Amino acid sequence: MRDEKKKQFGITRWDIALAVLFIAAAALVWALLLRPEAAGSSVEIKRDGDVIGVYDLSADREFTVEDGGHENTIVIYGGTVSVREANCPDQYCVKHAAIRYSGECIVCLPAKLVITITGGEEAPIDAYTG
Amino acid sequence: MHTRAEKVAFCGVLTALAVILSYVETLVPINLGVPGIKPGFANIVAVFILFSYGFGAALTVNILRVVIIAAMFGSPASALYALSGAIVSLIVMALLRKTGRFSVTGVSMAGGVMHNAAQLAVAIAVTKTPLIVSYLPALIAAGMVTGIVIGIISQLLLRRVSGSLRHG
Repeated sequence: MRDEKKKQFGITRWDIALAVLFIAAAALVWALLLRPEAAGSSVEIKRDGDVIGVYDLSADREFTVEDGGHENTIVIYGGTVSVREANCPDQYCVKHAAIRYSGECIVCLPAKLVITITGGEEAPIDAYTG
Repeated sequence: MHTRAEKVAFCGVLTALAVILSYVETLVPINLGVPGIKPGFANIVAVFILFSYGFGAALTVNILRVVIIAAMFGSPASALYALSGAIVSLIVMALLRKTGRFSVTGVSMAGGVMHNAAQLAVAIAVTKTPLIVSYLPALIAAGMVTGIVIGIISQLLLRRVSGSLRHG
């Protein structure tokens, strides 16, 4: 009993190994996705995986996308995109900072909405998103 | 050792505690720019039960907590994310505990990371957007930090409380 307890409470070399593994995994994913920050040229709006709109970043505009009771008001201003208003419960999309670089995205999970900057220099991950 | 009735009663009290911890967390919004990062103090209860009563009790209490919290403050969608994270992290923690090679803190750290990874996987499946895997490094780091903090707290609790539980 005492030995078992000791093992449970002291940090073991296995703990350290696991921590190193997690850090390596995080660094690997980060390195794979690392890319030069290229300003995008357009914004693509997807709902449930389907593209529902593509807009040019050079023209400022504000519009609302609506579906099944979910409303998200999207603002394009000075080459950046943000969500000004949404009726989702968590408001993560509204709190998200404005995006401007190719590959950056804002996700609204309740509305199944993904707003992605496209164009400019291709981000490596684009190969997977197809 | 506890009788069955004592165990059920104690797990009921712990479920209430877990619900309160989850609720308190909703009162303190944390925004680090990446969605979904929060301390997850209710997992102190999950880790504590896992190490004192085992996997079955921990899973039951955790599922009850998630369902109660979703019914009171969330939506079916939020329950799906919370459940996937809670179940996957508990399974991983139970397996690591079984090996007998990891400390409470190490087990909890893995639980934190797997919790976040599972939720991200569900998010990718729901939105059909592999691109959001770019949140993974931040979520792994956050899961490690919260998991270690929760592990240390759970360890202190286990050391002080579980002895009196077994013999009291």
